[in-house]
Amino acid sequence: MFPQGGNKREKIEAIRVAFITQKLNLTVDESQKFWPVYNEYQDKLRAARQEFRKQSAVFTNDKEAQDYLDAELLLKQREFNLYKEYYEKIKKTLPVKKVAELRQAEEDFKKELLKQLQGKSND
Amino acid sequence: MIEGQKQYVLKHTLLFIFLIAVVNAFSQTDSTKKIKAPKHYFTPTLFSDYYTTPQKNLDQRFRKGTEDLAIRKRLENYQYSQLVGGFYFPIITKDYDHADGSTGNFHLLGTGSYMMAMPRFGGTSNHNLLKASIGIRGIYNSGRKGIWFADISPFMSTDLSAHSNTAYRWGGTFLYDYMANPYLSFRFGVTRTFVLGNRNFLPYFGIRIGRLDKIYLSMQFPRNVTFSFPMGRFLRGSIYFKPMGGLFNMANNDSIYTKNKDNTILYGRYELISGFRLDANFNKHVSVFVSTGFTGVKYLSFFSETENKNNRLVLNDFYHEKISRGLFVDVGFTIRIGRAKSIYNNYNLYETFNLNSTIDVGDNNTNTGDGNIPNQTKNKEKSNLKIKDVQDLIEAQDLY
Repeated sequence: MFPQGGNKREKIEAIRVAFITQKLNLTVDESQKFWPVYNEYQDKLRAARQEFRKQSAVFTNDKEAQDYLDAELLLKQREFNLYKEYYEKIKKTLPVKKVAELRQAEEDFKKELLKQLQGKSND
Repeated sequence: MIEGQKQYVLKHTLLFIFLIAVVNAFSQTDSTKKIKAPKHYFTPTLFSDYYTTPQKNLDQRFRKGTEDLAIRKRLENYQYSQLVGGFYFPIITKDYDHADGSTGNFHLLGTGSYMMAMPRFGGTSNHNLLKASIGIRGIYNSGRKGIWFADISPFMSTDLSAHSNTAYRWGGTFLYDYMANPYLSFRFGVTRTFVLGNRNFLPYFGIRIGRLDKIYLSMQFPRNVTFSFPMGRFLRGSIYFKPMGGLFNMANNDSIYTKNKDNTILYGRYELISGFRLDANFNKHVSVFVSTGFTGVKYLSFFSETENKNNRLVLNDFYHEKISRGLFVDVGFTIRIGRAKSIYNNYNLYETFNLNSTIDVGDNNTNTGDGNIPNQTKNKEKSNLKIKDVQDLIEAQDLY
């Protein structure tokens, strides 16, 4: 189920894609419409989060702390706006029941990842 | 309306416009548009490969109907190698959101290639024949069933080893790809190509059965017939047949052609090769391949430039030689630079990428491989996770 390549994040992305595909049981037509939109959503979400992580979390003065908080607020705003924008777009590609299942599948996938991380920290 | 009312309406209208502008300035589109996500699906890509065949003696017997024994005696034996390099890069990528929810996209790519053809004859001086192209290709993926592809590659051909004329020619392909579903696609079109060792204007017909990220059989006339299969996460194996060839300007300093006092002749070669190719895709950025097999049908031809001056299509040769079968070795690499938009499970884009690699830059019929298309394997390993691997996927509140 992994894509080619040594980058672990790419592999996890591929696992998520497989996870969602399996959970949503997408038809060929749905798949053809859904994945381009979903990939674009994830690209933008990832870019927004990566941009935020460039902010240093070590503050030597109040201005730096304020900048960090502003950046965090902007990230939350962007995440919400992206969610709103792509929620509408995804609704055009899937029946509303599957859109709701998508949210659940994403949550389940996160739980899976957390379980993996937890297992590792318990070892 | 009295003056005071007019001013009141104007003031409030301006205030309303101002408020709309402020709201728009902080609206979702603004804050999301500033996100620096990758712009293109194709990344700037460099590729190179080296192909070689062993030396073969030319048949010195006189055959009925041929009058080129003198040339054959002169050439003695023949060995061929070539070095190909090239690049493509995205110029424009445009996505289209259709009303039915599908997403189409248009890709405009700049392309360039060079090929150093190195035919070696026992009885003549060495010739290094350069072919270099600069071109452009446009691909429109409708996001539904169809993909349109157009490529034009003007190129120059000259002999770097001795004085010769430089020829300017062009190759190109225009086709329509109908992807019935991820398991089946058809391609129809036309191609102007030199890979059969002459100037040909041919129909293009292709069919693929099987998914591009799994096992598939692809028959693309006149490019290749390929049976391709994943071999784990990083490797992909292919068994294939394909023509290799070209038409090159060559200095006539060895007086191979004695009529017209021409200083340049045209050297044409055609090989139908069958072999096995192993692609290793180490990551999104680097792929290498090794390939070996047999050259089944192999021809060598010489053409007179003067005699074919008014010939617009297939050229007439003055010497034609069938070369005996032999082994070949082909090794190459592809480097993709920078980040690209994700294409997971986007089978229209998988098809688009395959189209782009099947019809190579510069009409040399080399293939950069489909390193962008992730192999679908049954491996479900998820071990060795680290926080940094999943930080884009998990938010802080998920941990509570």
